[in-house]
Amino acid sequence: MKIRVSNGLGKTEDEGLELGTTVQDVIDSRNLNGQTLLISVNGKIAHPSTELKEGDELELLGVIYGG
Amino acid sequence: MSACLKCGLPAAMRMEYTMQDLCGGCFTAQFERRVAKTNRDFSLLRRGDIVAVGVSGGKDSAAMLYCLDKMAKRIGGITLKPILIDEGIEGYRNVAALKAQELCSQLGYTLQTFSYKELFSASMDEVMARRDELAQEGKEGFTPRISCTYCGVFRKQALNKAALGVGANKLAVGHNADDTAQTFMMNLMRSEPARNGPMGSAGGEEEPQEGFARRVKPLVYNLEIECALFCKLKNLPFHLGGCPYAGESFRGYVKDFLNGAEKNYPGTKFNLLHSFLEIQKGLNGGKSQKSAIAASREIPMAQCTRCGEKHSGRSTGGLCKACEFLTELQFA
Repeated sequence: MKIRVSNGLGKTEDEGLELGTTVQDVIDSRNLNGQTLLISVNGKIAHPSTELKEGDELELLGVIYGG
Repeated sequence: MSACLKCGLPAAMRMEYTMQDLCGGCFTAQFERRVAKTNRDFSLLRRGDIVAVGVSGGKDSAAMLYCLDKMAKRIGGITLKPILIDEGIEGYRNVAALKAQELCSQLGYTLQTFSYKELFSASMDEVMARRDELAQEGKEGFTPRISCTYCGVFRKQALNKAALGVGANKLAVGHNADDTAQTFMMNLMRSEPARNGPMGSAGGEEEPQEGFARRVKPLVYNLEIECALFCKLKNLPFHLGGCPYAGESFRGYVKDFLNGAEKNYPGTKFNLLHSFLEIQKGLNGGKSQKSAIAASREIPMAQCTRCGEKHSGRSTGGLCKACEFLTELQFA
């Protein structure tokens, strides 16, 4: 299946994933720190265990700046 | 799909440090309860207060203004006055300021802006350009400092001036648990443990000296990521861009380190926060923060010979730290 992954700041890429892949799997595969990410799927805040589906738009917005 | 620990609805996030899955509603309620607990633990706001709320356009201050607005309405008799300090960093603060304006309009407040340019006759962009010029010239006796050293001093003074300028007796700043953990670590890493003493916890000085608004930090029991999550769930406008000068900072290094530690050892940041609060008591000789501050007042405050601002007297030539920097940079 294909999903779209964005960093919330304009960088977007399509990614081919196996069925059953979760948000946490994507975070791990990219070696990101989930403790600093605002995660949303199709515009809604999502739990890391959320299973992704064909056509989903996953946003992983790094919260490392700004008070 | 994970279920919310509290209500059983689908969970929207996982709090690793408590191993709790929560839905959006239970998370935001918990966030607000923590702000209320901070208020109780440190006696932050009371009836009759006029509170200047430092907003920057960022997530922390957006979450803070939202929570304080609700709290002020619940308690009654509290006036909030949002203030924004414009450091003069083109492409950063001017963009964030639009979000701050949007937030204040959304919540029904008028935002008052104070700029470094007006207060100190130099913007941060000008300060940084001048620093680099003087360093390149190799001017004798000039010590170039990192951006945050200048900005931190100017910002602290600017916030206090702005708070007094709007007639506030208290100044609320959006420092969260991450900020406190970072400051604690930085003080230890610089071998300045005494800085963890009487000042700096959430409550500030209960009766600040003349010329100072009492600084309160309603967000110290909430993590940075939780502030962002709260804003997102409450649809509050905020800006997430980074300060272009932040790359120079020691804080940035400590922040990355603690984010890594939190990933591998969830709870690290709150453990540091609790350690800070315990050590603070120890450093105060078992005294409350209030009595420790009173003892520290045996050293009288000095008055800056240039701008008249009260200061600790540790700077050179009778100047406050801001005027010392402005003189070094030849703005004064």
